[in-house]
Amino acid sequence: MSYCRHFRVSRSCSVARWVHAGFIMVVKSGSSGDEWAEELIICPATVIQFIVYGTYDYSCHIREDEISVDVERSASYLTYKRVCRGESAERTIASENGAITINPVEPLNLPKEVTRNLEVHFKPIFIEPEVTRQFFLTFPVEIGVFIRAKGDYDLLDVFSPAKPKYSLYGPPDYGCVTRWHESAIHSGIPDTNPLREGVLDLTIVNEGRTWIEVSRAVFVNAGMTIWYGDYVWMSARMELFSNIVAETKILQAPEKPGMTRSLPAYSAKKVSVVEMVNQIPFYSTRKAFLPEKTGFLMEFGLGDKDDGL
Amino acid sequence: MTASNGTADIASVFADINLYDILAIAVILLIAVIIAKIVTTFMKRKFSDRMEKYELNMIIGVIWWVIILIGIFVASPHFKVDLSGLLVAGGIIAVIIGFASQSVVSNLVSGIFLILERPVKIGDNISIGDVNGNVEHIQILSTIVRTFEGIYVRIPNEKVFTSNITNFVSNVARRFEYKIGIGYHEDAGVAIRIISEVILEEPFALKNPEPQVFVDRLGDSTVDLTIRIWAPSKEWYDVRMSLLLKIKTALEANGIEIPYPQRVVTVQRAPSGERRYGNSGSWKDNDS
Repeated sequence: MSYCRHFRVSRSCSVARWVHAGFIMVVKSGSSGDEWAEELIICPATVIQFIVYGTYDYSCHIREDEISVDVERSASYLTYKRVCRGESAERTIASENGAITINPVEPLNLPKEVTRNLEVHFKPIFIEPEVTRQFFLTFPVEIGVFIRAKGDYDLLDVFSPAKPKYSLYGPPDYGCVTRWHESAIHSGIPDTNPLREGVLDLTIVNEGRTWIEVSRAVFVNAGMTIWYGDYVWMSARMELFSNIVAETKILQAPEKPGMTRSLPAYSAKKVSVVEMVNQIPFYSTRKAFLPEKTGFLMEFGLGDKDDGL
Repeated sequence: MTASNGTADIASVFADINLYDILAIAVILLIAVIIAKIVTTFMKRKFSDRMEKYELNMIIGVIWWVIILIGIFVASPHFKVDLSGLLVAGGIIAVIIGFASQSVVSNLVSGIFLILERPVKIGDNISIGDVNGNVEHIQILSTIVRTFEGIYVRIPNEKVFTSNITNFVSNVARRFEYKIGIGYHEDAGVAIRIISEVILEEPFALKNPEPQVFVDRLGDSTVDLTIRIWAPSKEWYDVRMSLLLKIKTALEANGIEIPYPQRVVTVQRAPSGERRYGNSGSWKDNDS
């Protein structure tokens, strides 16, 4: 499938979609200088989930803001080309029949993989004892390009228009490096740019009998399930045991039916597509036969005062 | 001695062994085999990811036979054979072998302790004595280091174990430091802001612990700024190499001067027209 046809339209509205006669028509608006620009895009409804995310055959050409992805077929091979924020990548693919899947992946791969942990930092929240509250935050996403054929898939490329930043959770000897992200706290689902950010549905449970101040949540990539549809989505639960200790866990549920589960980047080379769709992800080491622990124990503090130094 | 006599001697030796002794020997040897199996299985599980496979197999083989031999010694009273002569001979041989292989045994024991304690791991960036480089292999007798120049260095484990080991990547993060001098006529606050922005843009300059940029010293020629940055241990050198150039470029782009060492010379001329020197060797010229 070639990507979409683009039309300029004059109406101004936020991202919206209609299914009409087998096609999705997307009106996307965005600021360009002082003016708002709208774009009407028409494409087959069976494939496109969001503007960029989805599965394509070997002749896709995608243009979106700062991103372009092209797969060109020559006599004996395919050439994948990608440009994002001026940085380009090119791969040669030897494949006859297959597909390219582009979806949001865990933000732990750029500029290079140095950690398995994501840290979302936010303004301090004081949680009453024995209370459960739901908050909506944002988390960074990277864009993963997967190549799929004959029941197997592999990660072809990862890129992101957003600039990554890393941090340290805990002391330098026992702590861990984290991919750091600052988020505002929302009471409802916030508007996000799905190419840069996703919505993190964080349920915080204060299991203790004291007030607890929380301003960060650290997650591990094992079992980090990302869903996409109109926006990118991830659900998590954080259980607070004391002012210092908490456990976080990514939940497997989508926000609503119809969302598509992303292929994860961290185990792309080890797990077949069939396994990933039906099972909990497995760790990509020689321990692949054991399901990996998906929770993360935050034992170096929950607030800004606990830097571990 | 004829063959019939020899058979008779062996028969006489084992004549005293009764059914109880045979059962005891069988039970002791069975227990020894079970213990050996448990120990070697444990060692395989524990050390398979820490040691080379052939070394592990060699050690497991040695441990297996040591346990079996202990079992035989424990069972030996039931054979009704006097092993005292054998023990004396074995003791003498052990002393000779011990003296001959003192350094080998020392390296072997050090290697085992290194594997257990794990002060270094394969791939770590280390300094042992005057050797700096990356650990390639940790073998049972020696540790192989590839220096930063790509040279193969074999260090006996005894030396590794008894030396001061600096492991640059043992901790997940480490700090590095720059010192940058700016001109006295420059706004140090602006320079600090520019440098902080450059650090903020660098992904691996860690957000926490927070980087520090401050005026550290009023030098002879410059206002000296100290910059302290934490980075992931495995990336710190790349960050250190790239970030200084970015800081220099950003400072120059914003018109902040990084001056050469300089000295202000004041020349004064005396009323008689003669020149005279000022304090600290500088010129003083009365005309000026």
